[in-house]
Amino acid sequence: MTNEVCIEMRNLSKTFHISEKGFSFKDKILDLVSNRHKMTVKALDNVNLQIHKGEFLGIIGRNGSGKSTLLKIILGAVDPDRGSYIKTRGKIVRLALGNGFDLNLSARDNIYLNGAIFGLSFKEIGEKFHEILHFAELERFVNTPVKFYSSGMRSRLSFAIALHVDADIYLIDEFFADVGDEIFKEKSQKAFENKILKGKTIVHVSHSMDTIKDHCDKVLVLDKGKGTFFNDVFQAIEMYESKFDLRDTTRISS
Amino acid sequence: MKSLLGKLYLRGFVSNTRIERIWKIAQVDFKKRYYNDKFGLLWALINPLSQIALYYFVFTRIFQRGQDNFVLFLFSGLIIWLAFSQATLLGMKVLVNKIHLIESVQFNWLDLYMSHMISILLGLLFNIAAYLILLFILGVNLGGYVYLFPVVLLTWFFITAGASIILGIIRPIFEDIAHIWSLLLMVGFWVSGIFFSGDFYLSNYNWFAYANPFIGLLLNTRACLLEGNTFYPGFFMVNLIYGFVLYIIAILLFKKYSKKVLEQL
Repeated sequence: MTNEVCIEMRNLSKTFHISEKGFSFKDKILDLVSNRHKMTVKALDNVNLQIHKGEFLGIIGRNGSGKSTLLKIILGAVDPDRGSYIKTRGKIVRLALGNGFDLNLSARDNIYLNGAIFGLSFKEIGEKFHEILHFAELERFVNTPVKFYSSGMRSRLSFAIALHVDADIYLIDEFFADVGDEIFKEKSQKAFENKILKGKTIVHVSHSMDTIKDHCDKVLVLDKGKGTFFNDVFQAIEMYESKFDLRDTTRISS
Repeated sequence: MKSLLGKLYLRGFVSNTRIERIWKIAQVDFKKRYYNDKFGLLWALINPLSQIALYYFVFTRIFQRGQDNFVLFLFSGLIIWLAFSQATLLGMKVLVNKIHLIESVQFNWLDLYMSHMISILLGLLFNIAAYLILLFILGVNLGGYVYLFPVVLLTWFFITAGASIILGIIRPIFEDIAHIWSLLLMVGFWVSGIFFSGDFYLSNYNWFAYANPFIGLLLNTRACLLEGNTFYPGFFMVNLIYGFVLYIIAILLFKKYSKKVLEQL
């Protein structure tokens, strides 16, 4: 970890105007020129955050609390509201299992497509191709369209590709939730720690308190778009669980 | 053919990952459109050829048109129009279909449209190759302006890319545009000089020939691809201006509104 700030946001808010569409042609025309059918949803409300290079930030919150919106804003896929400040430094990728797969294509095509999307050259992909297939344990199905894969096979392929992506900031969205059987989970955890964790800045959205406790340096708890930032991971989990009364339903290893 | 196209990439020219990414997405789109199916690339031929056969029959047997090389005349116009039609209809869905890529990594989203256009161009080039084979079989010569074809195609590229980008921005916020555009394409199909020579408009509706860029585009395409047709520099210049202006407007609109549009997806 260094003093170099990798992600900084101040007073970051995001409001969505969701259209409640009318059915008639007249409604559709009026929708275009006015806000009369639009519902306002504040997805993020004045979030403040500062992450240094090499830090591992965990984001926790219930469904609809604004976690995915925050990742999209960090990635630059969504603009925040006016008056918000956000600055990021370095190449950012978002890893989510199955994200970026074209189900009609084979593993071979998907490896090349995903590799190219994530900024690897064809030469680099070619060099890593067999390693990716071997890690995913899918050598026999290299030319099979991904739509015929089980969800576990897709997850393994997705994880194996992600391991070979090089970036400065990784946005990880529930990546370990369904990564495969226990043996693969253990193998992928190890590879994750060896290949991605070292020196990289990571923002990890997870519902698993085990993952948050094992890896994170800092935690942002989101509740209906409002963020509370913690330097102490255990304090964050304590607050989150007591607030939503999750002590009995969340798996916590001691 | 399949493996050749599968491996085809600009090995010698490509040194940066952005160009490789554009090419890979284009290649995958093209592959998905054609040779994932049983008949593969044949569909790229069957579709225009069957349309040409149908129209040829209707116009020569039923309406008794006696024009020389009418089948080639029809073919040259139809492939250019069909490529435009396909590019704009599929172009409306580029952002929708590629949302998973947009939400995975930072890159210039206009690259998706570049890939889209390259993929459409690959299909068009395939049809042009089929046209050239037919030309050879029938013993007919290319037009005297064939050397100008790349620049004529460039005007087609800018007009088509510009229209695709603009439609791609409009569709997520106004889905009815898909139906409106299909109607406009149907009208365009019958009035742009695919079945008759666009020079008909020169004496009767000159303004319309300049208002509809495809009239000049098809006239000049035939001047390049089929002997005995005249090249119109005026139409070429107007189309070049149309193409550049439309493309620049499309890029400006895309930069201003693409993120807002994505919020609707």
